[in-house]
This record gives sequence, C-alpha cells and structure tokens, in this order.
Amino acid sequence: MIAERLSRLARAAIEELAAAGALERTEHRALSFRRLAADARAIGLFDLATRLEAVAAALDAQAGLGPQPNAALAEALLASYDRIEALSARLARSELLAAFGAEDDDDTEAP
Amino acid sequence: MTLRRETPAGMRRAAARTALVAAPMGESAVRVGGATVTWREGRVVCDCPMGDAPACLHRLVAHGDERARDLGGRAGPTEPPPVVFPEPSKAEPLPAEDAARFAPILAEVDALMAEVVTLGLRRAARVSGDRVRELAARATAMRPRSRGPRDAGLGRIARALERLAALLPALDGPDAGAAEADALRELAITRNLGRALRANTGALPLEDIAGASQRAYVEVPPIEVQGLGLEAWVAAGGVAGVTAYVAVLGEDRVLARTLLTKGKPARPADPRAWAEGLAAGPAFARSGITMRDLSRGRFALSGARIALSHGRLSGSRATSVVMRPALPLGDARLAQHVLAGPKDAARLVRSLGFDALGRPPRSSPIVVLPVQGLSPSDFDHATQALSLRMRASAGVELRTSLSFREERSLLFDNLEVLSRAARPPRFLCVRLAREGGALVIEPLSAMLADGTTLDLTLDVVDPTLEVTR
Repeated sequence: MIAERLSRLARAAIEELAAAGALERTEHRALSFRRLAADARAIGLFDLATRLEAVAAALDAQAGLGPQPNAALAEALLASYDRIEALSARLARSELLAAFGAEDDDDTEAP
Repeated sequence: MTLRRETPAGMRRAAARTALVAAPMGESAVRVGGATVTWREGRVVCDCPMGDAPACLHRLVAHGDERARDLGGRAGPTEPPPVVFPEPSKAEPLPAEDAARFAPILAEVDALMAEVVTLGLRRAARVSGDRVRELAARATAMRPRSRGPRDAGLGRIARALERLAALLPALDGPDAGAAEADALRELAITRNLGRALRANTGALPLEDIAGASQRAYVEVPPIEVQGLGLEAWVAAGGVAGVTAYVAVLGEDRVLARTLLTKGKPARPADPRAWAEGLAAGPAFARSGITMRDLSRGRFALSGARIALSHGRLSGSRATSVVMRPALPLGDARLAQHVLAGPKDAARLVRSLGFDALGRPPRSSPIVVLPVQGLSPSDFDHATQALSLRMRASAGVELRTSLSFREERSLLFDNLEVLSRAARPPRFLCVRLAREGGALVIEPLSAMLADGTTLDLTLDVVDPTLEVTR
C-alpha cells in the first residue's frame, strides 16, 4: 500500500469513529484499525502504526467499560489524527513540489 | 525626519482621523486638500498658512508618503522597501501559580474529550453541547492575574471549545461531513493545547498555548502592500465575511484584512446578497479606500497595525493610506508571491505545514499563479467535487479538486465558465490548502488578458466568456 492510500483510508476510519463513537460495531472497528496499523508498519510508518494499534486496543477495552467514557480511546484517536494530518501535509507538499519538478528533501516520518 | 517629535499630540490625532489623502504631483510634491507639500533639500515645506510652523496637518498626512519615499530611495527604484517587523512573543513557561489554577479545568476538558469521542460527535451534539459551552465560558473566565504574564489565561482552549460548540448544531445539517471533520480538528487542537499547558516546557510563547486575548495588533513600520485578491467566505457555524489579501512588498508575507457581516447572513449561499456591501466597505477607517480597492491596488501604509501571529491587518483609524500605481501581477517586486517554478514551489510549499496547536499562519497561504491555460472543469456528481486542471508553465500542469459546499456554488459556476473561456486568465490568485488531507489549489480571483479582475467568490463571470469545446 502506498502512503497516499493509507493516509486516505486511515483518515476515513478516524473520522468515522469520531463521528459515530465507540459504543457500536466496536469489534469491527478494532479489526479495521489493526489492519491499518499493519499497513502502516509495512511501509515504515512505525509511529503512526503504534497510534493506530493503540486505538484498536482502546476499542477492545471499551467492551469492559460499557458506555463509560474511554480516556485511552480519546488519547489514541486524537494522537492518530495528528499523525495523519502531519502525513497528509507532507504528501501535499510533495505533490506540489513534484508538479514543478522540485526536489522533496523531507524523507522523515510524520512527527 | 523629526516631524513626529515636533508635532503636538492633538495635531497627530487630527491627522489620524482626517479624511485628507496625499495626491502625488510630480517627483517631489503632493497635494493634500488645498495645500501643496514639497520636499526640498531634505526638508518638508507646506504652502498653507502654518507653513512657518514646525508642523501642520498637511505635512503629517504627506508624512507617510514621504517615509515610504525615503525607504524606496535607499533600496533603489525597482526594489521594494525593506521591512522589519517586530519580533513575535518570546517563549516562556507558565508560572506554577497559573498551572495550579488551570489544572482543574484542564482535567474537566480531558473528561469532556473522552465523553465526546466515546459517544461520537453525532450523539455528543445532542447531549454534550451544554457542557462544551459551559467549559468554554469557564475557560474564558480564567483571565491573567494582575501581576502574572499577559497571556497566562485559557483563551486558546476557550476559543477552540467555542468553535466546537458552534460546529455541533451543523452535524445535523446538509454539510454534516465537513462539520464532523472540523469538529474533530477542534477536538485534537483542544487536546494538544491541554497537553502543552500541562507539559509547560517553556519552549513556546504563552500566546501560542494559553493566549488570553485574540487582539494582539501591533503597529509596524511603514509598509507598502499590493492587493492580490478578494474572497467572500462563510465559516462553519455561519460566520461570514469578506477578506482582502495583500502582499507586503519586500517581505514573503501576505496579510489579510477582513470585514464580517453583522450576524449570520440570511442566505449564506448567495454571497451577492451580503458580500457586495462588505466589498464596498472601508478597508481602513476614514480612508475612503474600499476592501475591493485594497484587494487590487498598491498602497503605502503608515501606522498600520498587524496581528503578527495571525497575519491580520487592522482597519485602525491610526493607519494612513497613500495610493500608488498598482503593480502588474507579473512585476518583479511581487516575485516572492508568485508560484511559477521549482524554486517558488520549494519556498511556498511551507504554507502547507501542519500545526498541532492550530496556530494560524503568520502569512496567508495566498499566491499568484501565472496561467497559460485551463482545461474545462469537470463536476463529479458522485463525489460532489469539481476537478480543474491549470497549465502554469511549459510542462507544469496542476490538478485540483474542490469539494462542493453550498457557499461555494458561485465559485463553482464561475470556474465552470472561466475554464471554458476562449482566452484563459493571465493570473489566478489562489489559496494553497489541504482538504480531507489532499492538496487543494483554490482560485479566488482571476486577472483576465484585458486587465479585468474578477473576484470568483463575489462576482458573476460573464457567461459570454464561455465557448463550446
């Protein structure tokens, strides 16, 4: 999977979870985040992978919490969002530079 | 130049309030009202009855013009005047006393974040709105102590919560998807501000993480600005306004001057109903310069007040304005603001950065794009997005996709006409941004081959420009 596609899929999953919440389809969502984490790891985005895995773990824990607020989920989800925003910004910069044939010397992982 | 030191305060106030402007008369004189002000051998002379006094109103009005002339002379006839803006606020830690009094509210903010994320924004919009508003009010009430640092408040968190509260009702509206994305952004900013305040490393200015007040305008030295474009916009929550974007000559900085509607417009999707009055409104109090004038002309500004951290220009009555001949957008003095080649892209791409604390950019991400051609736009009904291809120069084709929103309907109509015109515009004033994570190049104004400027979010592009392809 290329970074652009992973970025789109992860953003969609994060936005969907933020909008719908963690009280329904929890197992299915945890599985989706685990897959995304594996994809991120496969292309070397280890920090993002760790955050996505933390979302999956927090979703697993939601079953034990019932409808109680889940602070770990909020922390993991919002941290994942930050990583995706940083990755998207890097990809957008690369796209503009590539259009003009300019070199992109930013090869670091999203912070 | 000692004119300011020799001038009574009352006369300076009168000069700040006057409607008089300086009209150039040749190389070394200007006409101010009924008087002529002349520069002779380094002295400023006025032919009014107060000509023998150390200062007069006419010389004060002409002063801004003269200061800009001095700066231009030092830099050479084709170089923009050098501008030195004040330094931004210095990094400092939050005093322990403030950290202690903020801690209970920050803990409640964390609990609220957990509740909203667990319930989901759609449910939270129905059950948590009051709590969000209540916490915003309590955070706003956390003002700086009388002997504490000026920015040791919770203004930034309060404003993020206020924006979140304003977005929640929109989650049931037609643009729910955009509102959800915006609300998630505000949640993330709120979380990051709370973390930064608790970490309290002293690595950032308090203005960035605490921020008691939004109003941090400071007077800057005389500057010369050239208008780039004008935009009518509607923000999530219904706030609407018109913004003129101006390039600061000699600086890689674009400033924004904004006028807001009084209350939410009744028909936000029809900017012609509410934006034209703002476009014709005063860019600066008592200057006679409209927002549209500012967005198209060149002006020397003295006493300009700028929010340095936001790149916003105030309409303060203390700002005196002298009109200059407008620069063509291809003029060398605007080179720092033009996106035409790899070096420009490498410089301007910085505006696409991500800021976890949601700090606004110090310069608006507005650039001038020279255009060789446009391909006919394509509206995809499935994705509700308008695709546009712009040929910027030989071998450089830029593609962009703009998501439909009600308030963008006029822009979409205009782009559909403009992209099919027999002759492409010579320049587009565009915003570089990200939408849904993807690069977006959003045209705001177009300069046509005949020199006409069209503001694409306000004006109606003449359908006769359209040709069948």
